[in-house]
Amino acid sequence: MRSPAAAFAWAFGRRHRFGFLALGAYLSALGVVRFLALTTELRLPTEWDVGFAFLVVVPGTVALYWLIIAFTFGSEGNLAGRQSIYPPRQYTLPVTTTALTAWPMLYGAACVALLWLATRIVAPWPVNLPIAVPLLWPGLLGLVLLAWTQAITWASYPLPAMRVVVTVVGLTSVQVLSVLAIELQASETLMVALLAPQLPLAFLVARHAVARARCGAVTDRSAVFERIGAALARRGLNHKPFANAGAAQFWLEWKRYGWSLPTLVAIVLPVELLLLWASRDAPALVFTILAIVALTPPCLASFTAIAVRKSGAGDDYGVSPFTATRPLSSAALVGARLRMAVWSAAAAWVLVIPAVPIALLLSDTWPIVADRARAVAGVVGTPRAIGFGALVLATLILTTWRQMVQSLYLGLTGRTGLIRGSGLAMLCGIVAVGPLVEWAWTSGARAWFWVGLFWTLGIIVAARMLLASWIAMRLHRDRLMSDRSLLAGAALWLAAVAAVYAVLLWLFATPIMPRFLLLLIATVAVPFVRLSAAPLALAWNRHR
Amino acid sequence: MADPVIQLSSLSRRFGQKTALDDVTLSLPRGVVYGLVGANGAGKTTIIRHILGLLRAASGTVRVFGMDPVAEPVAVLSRVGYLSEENDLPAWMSVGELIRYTRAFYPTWDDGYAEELRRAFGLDPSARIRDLSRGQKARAGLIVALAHRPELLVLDEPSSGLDPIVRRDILGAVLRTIAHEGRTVFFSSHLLDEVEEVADHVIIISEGRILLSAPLAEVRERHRVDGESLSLDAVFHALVGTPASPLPLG
Repeated sequence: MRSPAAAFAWAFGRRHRFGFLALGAYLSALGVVRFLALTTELRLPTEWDVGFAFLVVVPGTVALYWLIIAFTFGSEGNLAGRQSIYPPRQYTLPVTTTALTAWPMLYGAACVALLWLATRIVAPWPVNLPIAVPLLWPGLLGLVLLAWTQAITWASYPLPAMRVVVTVVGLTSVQVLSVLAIELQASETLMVALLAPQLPLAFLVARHAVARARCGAVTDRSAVFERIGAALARRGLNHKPFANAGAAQFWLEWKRYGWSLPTLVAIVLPVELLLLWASRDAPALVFTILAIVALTPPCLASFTAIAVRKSGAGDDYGVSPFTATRPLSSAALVGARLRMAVWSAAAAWVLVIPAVPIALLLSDTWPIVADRARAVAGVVGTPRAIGFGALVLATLILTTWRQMVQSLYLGLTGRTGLIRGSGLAMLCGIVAVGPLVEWAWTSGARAWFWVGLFWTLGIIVAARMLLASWIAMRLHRDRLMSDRSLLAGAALWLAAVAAVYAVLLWLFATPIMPRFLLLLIATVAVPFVRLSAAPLALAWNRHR
Repeated sequence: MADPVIQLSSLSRRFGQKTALDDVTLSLPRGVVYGLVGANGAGKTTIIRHILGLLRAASGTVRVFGMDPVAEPVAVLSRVGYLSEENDLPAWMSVGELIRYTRAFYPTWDDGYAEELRRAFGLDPSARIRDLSRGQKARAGLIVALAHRPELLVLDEPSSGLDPIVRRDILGAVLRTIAHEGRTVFFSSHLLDEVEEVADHVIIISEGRILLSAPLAEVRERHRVDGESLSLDAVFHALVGTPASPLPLG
């Protein structure tokens, strides 16, 4: 290996060899299917249906996301941090900054282009698609998506978590462009003209980002928060000793992760609510904006969960000796993090709940919402409408908290393969949800689904109970939780299920809805298994 | 003899194909300074991680104060002070916050002693850990390892990469700790002169096996040439089988 270009190629190939093997196997399988269709009587889908979705759309999208993660070094850095996620070990290589930037971008672009061309040529495209499958622009869109992701993630930011916001806004814009192009049936020439100039632009931004990171030119505005902390300290608020070890650990968790969700919400919320001023004449848009606002804390919580589920402070998932040697049980360490998530979710909603009515009043859209609320109250009755609203709000707050903590049981294991594998599985699941729902509604499976719903929920509940029993036994055997704590946890969970069941009974007091179905829903809705597995995961990581 | 502070029985550990510890048995009474000596990769940190309960004994048993540190981490760790070679203190904390946070975990925390150490080490309480030099970070780590007056002080390569002044501070802290009757110090090092200076009892490890575990005076007595005691450096190289003189420069 005598050239930097070959060394870069070798490093990517070696590090991601299993991924490339899987991608090659998938494209080969696609080629075999196409070959069989040409030479035998194998029938391929003629419409945009579930078969095509699972054969091409789902694997293709997953492959694109994987390539983006691989060529941005996304699995190596801290996305929520301020520093560039470009690996610092490469800054000392005797090559120019242009080479440091260009080779990963070029290799990534080549892989994305090959993925698209292979899919375009080999995949069995249905004949009756709404538009003719273009040759160039979808691939070019993939290149643009990759290039901007590289530029955004390699840049350093003045504040923590800013990268997440910029990534969400930037990549959503590119995705919106693709949806618009399909809806408006844009020509290939127009799309190429719109997309192609972005590639050199993204390269220049990425090169500038790497150059700044390489010489350590990183603007740090987090000192603002530190000054506030120092001012509080001077006023004596930070000098009081902690009441106990649990309180000290909670303080550490809050300082490390707790503030990030309310901060993100505070950044995104005003932008969303400003849209209300533009929607005074479009009632439907008002409700769309309100739905987006309501979903903002849970969605942002799932981003902050990436950091929250880590065992230590660094980029590594392994628990640091500093944390591992705290004289505190693994259950108490997890408990402090769960409490931090409760306060973080509450702080985020404390921002949202008053901001929405204020924005509605100031933007003169309050009457639209009030009219709809009165209409609903007229149909179901005022108490039930208020109860339903309160249930939705409580569900959203609980979901925000759940999003932050539900993957703790994976992250705290510290096993990188398990964590990344579960992430990829979740990505596949998210991509597959759309086609699955479409299939359920358009095929005969819908009837089967409803008939089997009771059984499905029953099996889920039985499996959860079995798992919960096993986890409780392990917690008891490994002395991670006392008998009293285990009993208190079980009693709390039962009380929560009973409360949810009572609310559901009151809200859906109709003979159409069987009571045992409501009980099953209440049992599934209240989290238990994954949360109780978190101390086991941390203990597995802490005592290897 | 009093109950041993640390007791390892037939402890073995493998990481993949590599044997990190091979049938290690040690029984260490309290009130002694133990120096664990070995080359890089000999198994020093693996022993320390077992003592702290960060590694579960795959084969054999580990007891600290008569307890399994994995099964009873709170009871064991609340009596142990630990300074890590990695020095992984939270970078965002100030020195004052680090002291305030750590204090909450130890009922035996001594505020006066912590303040005395902080002043002696010249650390500003408002300074962020990330802004400290490597030596200052080691001193900050030492304050939180010592201020609760632990019964067992565990130091993993405490002087690694530090200048002589910081090394002197650390060795001074070790001496102060043993000044209190009944306290035990267990420290690993590859700096043989440092071990020779402070340790009462030397343990030499190579490729996961304990080659020697004896009081330093006994080691000196046993290894003599022409009536002169050999240095620990010479004893170490004789046992491990490596040349005592440095390799020639290429």
